[in-house]
Amino acid sequence: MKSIIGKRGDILVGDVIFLVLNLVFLSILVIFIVTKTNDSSIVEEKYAKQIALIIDSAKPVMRINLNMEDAIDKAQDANQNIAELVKINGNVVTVKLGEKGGYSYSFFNNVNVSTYLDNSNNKEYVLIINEKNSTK
Amino acid sequence: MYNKEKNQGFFSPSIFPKSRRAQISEGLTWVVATIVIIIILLFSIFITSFYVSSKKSIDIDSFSDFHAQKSFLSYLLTNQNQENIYSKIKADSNLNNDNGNLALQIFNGLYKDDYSQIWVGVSILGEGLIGTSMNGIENEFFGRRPSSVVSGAMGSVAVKDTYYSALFLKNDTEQKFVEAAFAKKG
Amino acid sequence: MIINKNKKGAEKTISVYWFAILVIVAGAVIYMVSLVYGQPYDVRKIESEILASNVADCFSKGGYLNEGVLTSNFNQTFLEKCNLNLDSPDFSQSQGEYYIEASIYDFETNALIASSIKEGNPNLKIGCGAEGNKLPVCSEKSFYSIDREQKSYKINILTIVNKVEKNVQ
Repeated sequence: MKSIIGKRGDILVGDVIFLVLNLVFLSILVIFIVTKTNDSSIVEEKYAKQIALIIDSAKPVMRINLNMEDAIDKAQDANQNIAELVKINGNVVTVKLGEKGGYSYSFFNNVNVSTYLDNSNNKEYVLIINEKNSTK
Repeated sequence: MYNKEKNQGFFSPSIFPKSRRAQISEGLTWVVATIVIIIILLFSIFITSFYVSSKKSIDIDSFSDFHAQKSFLSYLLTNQNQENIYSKIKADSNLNNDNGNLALQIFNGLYKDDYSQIWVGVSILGEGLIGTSMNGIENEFFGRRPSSVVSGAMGSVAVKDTYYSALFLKNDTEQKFVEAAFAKKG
Repeated sequence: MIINKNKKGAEKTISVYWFAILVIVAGAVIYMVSLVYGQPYDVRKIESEILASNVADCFSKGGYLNEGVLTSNFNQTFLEKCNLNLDSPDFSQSQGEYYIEASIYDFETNALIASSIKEGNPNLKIGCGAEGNKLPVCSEKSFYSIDREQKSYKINILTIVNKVEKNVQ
């Protein structure tokens, strides 16, 4: 009887360790997948390229409203100022949704572009396309 | 250590002790399972890489026909015998020898390698199976209008794999348009 | 006793095997996720088409060839007249990520009317038509146009976009 009790104890500890290791392994995997899929860098790239292509195909004088709800939500989660997500410096568009990172993409259309958050709904960004050296 | 079954003859049901048979069976199960898992994983990786290559390349087919549209407009503005081609087609309700041959020279000459079928001619807006549709008048230069797809009444519409560019001509008994159609390859 | 010992040994072997399978599966999952979320969007095809369209609009609009297109001054001030900026500051060590080549021919005789316009990085032209993954994307378009005197022309436009680092993994 004594020998049987001792053997049962060994098997239980082994199983528990086995299960715990499995859980740790799977947790690491799930954390990796969730981190990758929720990564804002993909959204930054998407909008930077989209805005650059929009500017390339636009003509002065145009006003374009772009729905960026998912990007704004991500920026809000990261406590970023949602009015400064999109910046245009020369002919480069930069979209930044977090403190670190940001994605830049250049466009070839030689126009003056200004951008701001549409305060009426806080879901869209407005792009104003003007001729270069225009003060409008 | 001592196993009675070891002393059995060659044609006995089994020359292996039962405990070893169970271990070999279990081991084989794992080997087969591993192979199956690896095959499924390789298949998944293949599908994923195929999906990525198709989804991550951004392309918009309808945008790429701007050059054909430009050529069409210039063609209609070209003068022949002191009259532009648009006015002539409007009067005749079809292509004639001069403007038909010029259309062949321009569109077949420039785009025959880019499209599987090119058609230029006069179309009549009529009723089709689903809403309105354009019915092309067959001409000796381009033959029949490419197979029926609903297109817009004015301007250019890219539908499926055929690109149409149309300009309103007149509305006598029927609404007529001068139209160019470019059917993509593949 | 013998049977118990064998079971322990078998269980240890199976545990190691189990973790080996987990590592293989996890590795495959990580690879697939990295493949999907690590690959950038390749927008160069549409970008080169837009560039070609902008250049075409600069040559011909409303069915007629734009005035001044056939002058030598147009060649020299092409980028300014067509509102194009081929600089790419987001590519730090670049010799140019774009290339544009445009030629005007007499439609009847196919003779070159004015000297071809060439702007950007001409080295990118080598990549056109070549096989490979990390090559520039080329777009070649031709169209027919007339001028106000009813002379007819054929305009060929070649536009190339490189930007491999930001569009191909």
